[in-house]
Amino acid sequence: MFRPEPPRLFTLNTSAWLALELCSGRSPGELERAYLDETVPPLDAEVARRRLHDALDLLLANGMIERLAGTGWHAGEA
Amino acid sequence: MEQKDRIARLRGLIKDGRALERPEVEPLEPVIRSGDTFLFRDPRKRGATAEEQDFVEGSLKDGLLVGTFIVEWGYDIKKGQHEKFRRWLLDHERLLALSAPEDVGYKGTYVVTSSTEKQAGDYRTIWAFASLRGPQNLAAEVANEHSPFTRLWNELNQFRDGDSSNRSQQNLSPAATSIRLV
Repeated sequence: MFRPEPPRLFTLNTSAWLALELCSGRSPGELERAYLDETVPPLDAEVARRRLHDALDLLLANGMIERLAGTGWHAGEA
Repeated sequence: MEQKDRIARLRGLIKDGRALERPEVEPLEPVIRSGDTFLFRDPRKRGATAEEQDFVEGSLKDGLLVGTFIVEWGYDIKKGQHEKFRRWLLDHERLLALSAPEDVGYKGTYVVTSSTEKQAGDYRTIWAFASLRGPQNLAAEVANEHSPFTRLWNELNQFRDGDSSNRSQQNLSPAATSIRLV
């Protein structure tokens, strides 16, 4: 995955990649529902929620997504 | 690849039992070794001396050289697929070689039993080209979805793990006829 600003390449595992693909344009509630729809099963709902929140923390920390005021997240163009 | 295709691919990975492990986001440090040291050319064509051309022709016939240029793929295969891949190679590798288009040689798939390159993948597939027409013929052949070679090419590539960061490609030319730029 390429982050344009500042430019850097990242490798994401499946859990993080799924969160990145789903987050853009969704509210926090919509994102959680979408992530759970894709991952439960095989994961149970509580584990899936933790995976999603951990993934968002990592994506935010690495500048791959940004939090929009009150509405959710925006993923940068890859 | 569009977003709907990426999500479809993710669904496939999840359905295939790919573990939804703890999220990981790791920066990559790319190592780019560009081909700026040697001139790329066909050593059997204009610009190569008669001696060089004779050497290449004779060496190809004798089997000393496997091609006028060689492409080596390095890759991992999907987790748990080694035995299935090995069986596929036993059953199809000769057919893949026999069905390759003109000037394209399939020279086998190998496992890496030791290497100094940690991220080049555990498997290597070697392609040898007899001329610059080879890559053109290859591209034309794989665009034909009804071709027996293309079916085998696709089956081989489906074993490759597209999510692994361990992959590489090297393009090689005979050193005996090479021109060093720097």
